[in-house]
Amino acid sequence: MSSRSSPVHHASLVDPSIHSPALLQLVNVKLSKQIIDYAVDCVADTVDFAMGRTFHPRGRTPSRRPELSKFTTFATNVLARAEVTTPVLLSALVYIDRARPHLHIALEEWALERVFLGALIIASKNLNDSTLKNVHWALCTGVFGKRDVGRIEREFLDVLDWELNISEADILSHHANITAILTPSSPRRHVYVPHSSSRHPPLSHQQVRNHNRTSCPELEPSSPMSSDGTSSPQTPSTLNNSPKSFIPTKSSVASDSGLRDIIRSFPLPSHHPQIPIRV
Amino acid sequence: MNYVQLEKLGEGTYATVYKGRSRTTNEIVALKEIHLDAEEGTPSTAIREISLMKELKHVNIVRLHDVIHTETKLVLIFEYCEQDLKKYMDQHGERGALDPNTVRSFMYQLLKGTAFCHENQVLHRDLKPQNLLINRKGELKLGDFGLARAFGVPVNTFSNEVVTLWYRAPDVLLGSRTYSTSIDVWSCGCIFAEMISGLPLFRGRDNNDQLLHIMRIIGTPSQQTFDKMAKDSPEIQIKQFPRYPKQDLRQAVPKASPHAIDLLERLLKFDPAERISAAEALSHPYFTSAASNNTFTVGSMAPPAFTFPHPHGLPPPQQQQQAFSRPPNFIANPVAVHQLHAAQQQQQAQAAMGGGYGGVPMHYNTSFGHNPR
Repeated sequence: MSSRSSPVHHASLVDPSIHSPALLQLVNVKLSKQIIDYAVDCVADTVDFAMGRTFHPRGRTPSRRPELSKFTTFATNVLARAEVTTPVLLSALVYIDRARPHLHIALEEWALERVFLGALIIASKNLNDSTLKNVHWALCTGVFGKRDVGRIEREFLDVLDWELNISEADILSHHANITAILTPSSPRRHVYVPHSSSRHPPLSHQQVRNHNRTSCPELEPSSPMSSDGTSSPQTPSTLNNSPKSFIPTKSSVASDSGLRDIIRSFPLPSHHPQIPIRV
Repeated sequence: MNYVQLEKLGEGTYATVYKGRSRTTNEIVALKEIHLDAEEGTPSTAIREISLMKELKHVNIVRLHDVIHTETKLVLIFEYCEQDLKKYMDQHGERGALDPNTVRSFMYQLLKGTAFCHENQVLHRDLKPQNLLINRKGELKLGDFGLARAFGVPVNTFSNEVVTLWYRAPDVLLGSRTYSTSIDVWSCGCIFAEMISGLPLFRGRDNNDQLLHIMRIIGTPSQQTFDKMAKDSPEIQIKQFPRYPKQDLRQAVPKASPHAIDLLERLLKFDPAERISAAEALSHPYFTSAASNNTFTVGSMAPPAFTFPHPHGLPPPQQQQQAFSRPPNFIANPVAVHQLHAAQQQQQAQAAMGGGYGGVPMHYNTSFGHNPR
């Protein structure tokens, strides 16, 4: 909007006329209750999928599932407290779509919050020069500590395999759904259609993408590694402890083994009774 | 564990860089180790550096091989390069000044890498000699993408606290946040002049002083130019500046050939809209004309005709050999130059420590962090 007089769009640094009107409309949508509900549905659908409950929620009716109300409150609070903008939320949804085929969740507890927060923090850090630190994100959640947040972030980066590029097509994949929600006349049937198959659309600017994901490292319990590496000229302890997943990507096998990309564990909010993390 | 950590190459506030060796391939690599602070989490600089460099595969861009991410640290495994351009100029240059053929080869490679970033909608935002790495084949590679950003999709916010002061474009100095690829081109121009003369071209103390240094050489722009820039980037602030006449660049960079001067003029346009693009600069007569090429001895430093992807493992381009077979050319520095170097080194010591893989100086981190209410 503020780019009206500039030959360059302030948020893309290119001539705004090359953007599709639909895209410009989408990024300027007000972050309303409907948009938050839509995001909540996207997250819930992805978590269901990742927990192997694909078929149950597919046929769900427009009436909202009551169990989502706690998570809706969480999402609403985080978005408001962190002053998240629509483009960042849309980008977080893109990351959630992208993570979907690689996300396996064994533990339901806080799964919605973790997936949502992971995508949101990464989108925010990637898209803004000025960003919140994890300690601030922790405050915004009201439930997670900064170490929990750090772990959520790290695991989500791993699931995404650091593929954070966002194309116009990625964002536009939500256009139809959001337009349907925001158009009052249309019946409220925003059955969320995931876009996992088109997560690397041709518009994407990189010629080469490395799809050979390394397997997800077995996550150590959160006790930090002893930091004896400082005095020693030897290989740092993390290098010693890292599993074979750190063989350079080129040599990793692209087999679709079910072992890869598994989020085995998630941190729990500190006040929560400790449950064994290992699955 | 797949990498053996060898000697430390450099240290910054943000990262420590070690030489390393792959256990599987025996390849020598650079390990950039970033300490993770629980307060901050994974730094946004690291997030962008990894996601961008993972995709930018080009002979003139340092290749990121691998990433190790644990709770306490993040290790980036890069291809190994012997030194950065700053150190190269200090060691091989005549008071820092490189010979014309080496300048042409490096400049070509710098523009090639920069053009590749721009083609892929990435701004580097911190081009400077310390962030350009030179390997023993004479290949120049863009490193340290800690400040780099993807652009082209309207979902971003951009800061104007980008690029190291001496290499910062005037539009950014004036406060623009709607800058574009032309800011990297400006940095390329500054680096070009520095390779020719051995000294940074514009050495300001702060934002405003930097603008004055620029205007003293390329002249204070006309009011129309200022007005046009303010229209293009409404967020910039134009104040009153002394009216400096344009200086002849041949005085500022006496060793530059006529073609070099012409290219430099096009790279260092005050108005970003008038700056040549990196891709266009590659076909400038400085690189292509017979007059330029007649200074080449047979088989020596023609602009390298790199293929993409670069066939690693092939013998190095033969034209590159010469620059490195020559012994280092040490000439006693006059006191004045020495002092300048000292001042410059003081200012840049922090940044230089990371050895081009990016021990990002502290002020970047602080300027980007912001506290929530």
